Amino acid sequence: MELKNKINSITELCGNNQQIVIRKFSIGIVNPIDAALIYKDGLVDQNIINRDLLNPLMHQVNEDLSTILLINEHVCDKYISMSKIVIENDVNIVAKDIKSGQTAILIYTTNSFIVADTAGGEHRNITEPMDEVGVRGPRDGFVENIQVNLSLIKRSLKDNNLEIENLIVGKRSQRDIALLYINDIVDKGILDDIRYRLSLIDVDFIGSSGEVSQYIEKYPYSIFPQAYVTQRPDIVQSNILEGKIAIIVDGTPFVLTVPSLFIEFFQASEDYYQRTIVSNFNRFIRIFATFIVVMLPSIYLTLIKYNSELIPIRFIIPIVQSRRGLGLSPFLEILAMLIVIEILREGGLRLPNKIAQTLSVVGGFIIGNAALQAKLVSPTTLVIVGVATIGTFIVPSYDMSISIRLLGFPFLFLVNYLGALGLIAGLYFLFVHLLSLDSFGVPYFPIDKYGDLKDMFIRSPLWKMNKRPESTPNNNPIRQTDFRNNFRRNKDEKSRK
Amino acid sequence: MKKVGSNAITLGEVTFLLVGSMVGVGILSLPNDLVVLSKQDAWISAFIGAIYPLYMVIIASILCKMNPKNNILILSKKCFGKIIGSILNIVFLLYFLLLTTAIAFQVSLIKWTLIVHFLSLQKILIVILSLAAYTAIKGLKVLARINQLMFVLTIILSLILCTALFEGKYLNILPILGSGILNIVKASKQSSFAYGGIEIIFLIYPFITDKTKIMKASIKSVLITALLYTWITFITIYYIGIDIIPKMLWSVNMVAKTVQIPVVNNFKFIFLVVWALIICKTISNNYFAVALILKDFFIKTEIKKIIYIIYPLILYLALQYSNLSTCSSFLNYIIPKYTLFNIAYVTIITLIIYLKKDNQNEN
Repeated sequence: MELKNKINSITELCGNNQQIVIRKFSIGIVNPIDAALIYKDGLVDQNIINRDLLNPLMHQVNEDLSTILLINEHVCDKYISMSKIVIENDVNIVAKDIKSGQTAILIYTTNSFIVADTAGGEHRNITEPMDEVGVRGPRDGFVENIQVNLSLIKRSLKDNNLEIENLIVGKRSQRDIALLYINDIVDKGILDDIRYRLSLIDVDFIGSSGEVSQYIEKYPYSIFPQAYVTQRPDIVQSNILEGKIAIIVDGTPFVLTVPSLFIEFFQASEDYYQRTIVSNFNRFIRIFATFIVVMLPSIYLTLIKYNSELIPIRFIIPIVQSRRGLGLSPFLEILAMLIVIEILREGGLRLPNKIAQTLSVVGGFIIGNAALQAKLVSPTTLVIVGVATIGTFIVPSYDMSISIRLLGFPFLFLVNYLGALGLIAGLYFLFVHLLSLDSFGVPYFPIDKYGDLKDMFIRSPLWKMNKRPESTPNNNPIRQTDFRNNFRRNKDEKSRK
Repeated sequence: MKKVGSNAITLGEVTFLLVGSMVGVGILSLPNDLVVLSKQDAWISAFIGAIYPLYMVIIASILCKMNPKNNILILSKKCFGKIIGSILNIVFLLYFLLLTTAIAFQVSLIKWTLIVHFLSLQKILIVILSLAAYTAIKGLKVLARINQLMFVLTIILSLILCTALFEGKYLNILPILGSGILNIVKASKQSSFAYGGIEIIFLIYPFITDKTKIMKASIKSVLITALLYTWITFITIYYIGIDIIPKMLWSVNMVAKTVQIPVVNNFKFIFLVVWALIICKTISNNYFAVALILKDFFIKTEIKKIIYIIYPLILYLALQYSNLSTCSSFLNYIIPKYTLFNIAYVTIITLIIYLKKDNQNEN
């Protein structure tokens, strides 16, 4: 009777009777005692339950268990051949564990539960992330399973101070969320703030980490992303070593690291794996491309609409000739082309690879060529818009590249009405906005941290970055020592000998 | 942890804020004002002119040491009583109003003349003042940060003018000290508009986090500005010569002509576009100062609302200058008087506070 009550209370706490499997059985051959095994269907690995729990308990217990006092401990010690096993008294915790794929064993005569980790179920294999491909870096990427993701990070970050905190968010979805940080590096103020914000989330359902970042960020109406999203464990590892906090949401391969800085979105992990000069050049190209994406169409519009005297005569003649007989005004022409490209991009994003190729051929070549021949746009405009579009692909972070692309539009409108003044106004507004943003209390665009210039627009040699970036507050500024200086000394000593 | 939204600013930010408050539109026509009296030695005058801001920052740091929590508005009420103190504060307020409107007007005039002649002056002013108001709303911290960013641009632009070194003639600046020391000193008075804006330090020193080194940080800012002005005046005279300078309204812009970059015909345009960005922050600083003083009168009103409310007023006042000659003659008339007022105002307050403190100690 008591057994039934306990089982009922568990099934009630777990919510849905239909999904909970209750397997009643007897332990021992001599004087058998009643027991039950409770788990949630679909979340466990049946083989483990059959092999390591049911089989030993039902068939291999030859002694009389009814005389033993601490029967749970005895059973765990002698019969259950599993390593991850706990004895739990609290029914609520047991119910929670069952929901995450564990199995509870309830022996009739005892008050506590044996909880065994039998979590199973299929998950995607670890593959290289499609949209964050690296040439020289590690090839593994996060998957949808939080335990696998945690193991990916722990595997090559064996520091004792690595802390993992677990939370559950979402009233109905009850997602597991893990906070990862290095305890002696992270700034406790920021950690408390993030923990507090996460604990206050009150929604039904959380689908992906993108939602979490929108729930906790400070400026929801800003165009810039305030949490760095990545699928690569190496980026998460190096970020938490800089004093950042990783937020892993179960069921999504995208891991957030906060607080994030504006410049971080323009740095790729590749920068650190390649040689110094090469990666410096890459960074320069990236910043230059960002400038082009935002400004080039509007600068072009200013030049041909209002300030054509600034274009050298050798350039202006072909431009004027190519514009002869065009129907659209320069502004409409640029806007139309930009919108067509946005349509192509949005359309191609969700198409299967093979059809997407057709789309790009039809969209890029055929429509582009037809628009030229139909005298809708001039070739110069097409070049400008094309270059600006290609530029967006150079920003390593997808979130940031969308934001950057979108920035071009307000600039275009401003310039159309205000000429170069629109350029000034737009830039100034952008600067003020960027400088007023913060990501969890940390300035988004730090300008007074001179030490960090080593790794912002340029990347100095890795062995020279002895301090962690100041822009992210941390408790342990020293990252490494000047170990390369030791090389020379050893050599001298050897030569003297 | 450093919050962005707050008003507390660090010493480094103070330096840039003060440089940003001074360097604005005045610099573009500074050689014009100075060469009238001191001829080829105008660059020395530009440097000597820094005595005024230097005096102001020294007084400010003394005041700050004695009364770190109260700014000049509260102190003036303490010294002169509520009524006279408030009147003096209003006069001080008008100074910043004058700076805001004058700079905004001059900038829009420059833009109208050289960049966007197809727009009306009103439209340009509306845009510029909106930007200034938007920045002011964001608070002192953001203001300081934008000043810091613009400082980088200022330095880059000033260094770009080095190209004129290859094209100018050294004869233009000879004989050094030839115009007489008296003239040089006299001419330095003309730079007070260019150095105007430093007075903002009397309003903001309570917000500075580390009050012990204010003197050092602010003197640094004055020195940077003085060197910048000296360099700009020097290179303008060196390249253009004192005979042609008075024939141009904004002679510094002419120096930018020496920079040659491919694809663009005329670097002057780019120079002005970037410089216009820099001036925006000067207007923002003064706009903020106006709002800050008004906040002292209407303590219960949010500073955001004050900024919204004074926007039409500033726009109206800025439009009253109507053209450059009225504007500059008005400024020539009023700025020296205001400079004297400012000196008297802060000196007297400092003296009274100092004497009062002595009395208290004796008691």
